[in-house]
Amino acid sequence: MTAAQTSRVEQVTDIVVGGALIALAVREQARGRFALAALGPGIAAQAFFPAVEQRAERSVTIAAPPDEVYRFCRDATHLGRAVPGLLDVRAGQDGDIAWRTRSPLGRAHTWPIVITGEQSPRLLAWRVRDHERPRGRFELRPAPGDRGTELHAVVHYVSRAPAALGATLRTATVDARLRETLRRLKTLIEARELPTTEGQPTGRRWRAAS
Amino acid sequence: MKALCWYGPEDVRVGDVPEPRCVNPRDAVIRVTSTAICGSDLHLYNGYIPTLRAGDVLGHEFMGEVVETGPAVQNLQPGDRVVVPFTIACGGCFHCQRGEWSLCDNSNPNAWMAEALYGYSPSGLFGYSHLFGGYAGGQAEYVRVPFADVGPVKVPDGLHDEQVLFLSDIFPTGWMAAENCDIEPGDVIAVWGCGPVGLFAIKSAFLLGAAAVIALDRFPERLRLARAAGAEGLDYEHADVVEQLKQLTGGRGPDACIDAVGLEAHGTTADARLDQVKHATGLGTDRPNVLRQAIQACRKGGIVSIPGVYGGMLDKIPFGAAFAKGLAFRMGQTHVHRYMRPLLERIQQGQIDARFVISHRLPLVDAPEAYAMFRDKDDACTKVVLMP
Repeated sequence: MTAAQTSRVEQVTDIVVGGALIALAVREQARGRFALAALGPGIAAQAFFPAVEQRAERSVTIAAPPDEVYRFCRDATHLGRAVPGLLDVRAGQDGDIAWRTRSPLGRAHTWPIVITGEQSPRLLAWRVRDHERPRGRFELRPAPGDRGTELHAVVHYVSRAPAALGATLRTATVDARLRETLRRLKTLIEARELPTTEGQPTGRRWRAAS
Repeated sequence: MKALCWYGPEDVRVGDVPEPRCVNPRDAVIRVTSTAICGSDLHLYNGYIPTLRAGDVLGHEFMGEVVETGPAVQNLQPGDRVVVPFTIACGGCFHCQRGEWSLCDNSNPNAWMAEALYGYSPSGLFGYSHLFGGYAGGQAEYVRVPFADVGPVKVPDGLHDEQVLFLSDIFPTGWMAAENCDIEPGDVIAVWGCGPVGLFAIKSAFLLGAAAVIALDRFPERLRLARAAGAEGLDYEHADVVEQLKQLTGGRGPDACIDAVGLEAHGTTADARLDQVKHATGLGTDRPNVLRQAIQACRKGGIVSIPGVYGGMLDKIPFGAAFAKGLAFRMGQTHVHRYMRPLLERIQQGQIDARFVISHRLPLVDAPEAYAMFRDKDDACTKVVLMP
């Protein structure tokens, strides 16, 4: 964990969002005002503390040889299906890959991803253009006993003190997303589709059989 | 379409729900022609398995006719009659390739949930809570079958639904329970629970060469079925089980013990009563007194085979006895895919007529009453087959 610089935009955003939550909390009719009253000052205070670089690390074993796993991961559209919460993946400018995500507030955000390291079939590294973080790396190794490929993934990202709860939530979120990404990659390669229960029958709205 | 939905403990209803459709390329949709209530469905019915949601469609033993296939399903055609394994497996992961189909890495969409509870996720299951995928079950007119290119087995002409329906679960489950006993000539196998899985375990143990099987239950009609299958029946309510099993085996103890009861064991012993109190007060998840007896009764160096379902934290298991006697434990959901075709051949060869467990045949709309009847063992109920 190392200190990282907090940008002016992030500082202003923290103050505005934190202040808005405090303002909401003091309105008598606001629902959950006690939670907002606790959260608002925490977010606003973040603006005055340095960001902290953290890393999430996960691994998965995929029943396929390293070159097949590498080819699959190198294809941005494949990787796009594996990353939860991704709206779409497009070819960007200068060979970038544009990942579009949606924020919790519903705003779409584009991440121009630059490949910073390629050693087929062993290493694939990336970062967001013009930023040191977030950045990540996939390392591929043959699994022992001809069991396929071990994929070791590391993501470096920024979390800001002192909002301990916020930092913990962010760490948990990044870690969970990385774990889910690896799980989906494995499933897409081994099973060629993602299991789902989307659109299946349920009796959530009870109707007696006619 | 009509489907049997769960709304809470002891509250299941047949309602109108939307029909399923193929979602993924490897899906198929089946028109269900026969389905059954499994003993493990009673764990859902009685509220023992967490993560069910109101409106979930139950049922994991079913068969029927293919009505739709996804573009990646090349081995099935609309009109094919198929039996569907209750475990859902991708066919491509490490475990599927080893034949450990119920441990499939890729078929549970809620794997994160099972990982949080168990460390790793087993396969998805039809109609068996969101912990195991949240898939809609087959006690319905239609069901969507994921990974249909590796699961369903076509039924040869000339076989009635009832002859092959139980390939979906209880016959392979009983078979695997017996196979896990590594039966050798002269072996005596003790089977706790003479419900459908226990009865298939008895038949399977004999087919695999057991010299004798001792069957334990408390219901006269179930003990009668066990005796008809060739076992010696033992009413556990009127016996000191461990001593009686010693007597019946010349003091050696059974070579292997099969717990075909699982987490809702009944019993009259002090530990069984304590389990009941703990469960009723929310202090315990499972009632494992059959497992305790099996460990205590098994001979030194023997095997305890557990097809009965357990879900949570088991209390006061005599692990010291298991260690001192050098017991081996075999357990887990059945690798149904592994057994369906070989057991279908045995059915075709006339080695077993799976219909012997059926006590009731009812329309799907009577399923709520059938659940209550099966749970209470009313009307000598051993197995209910439902027709949608």
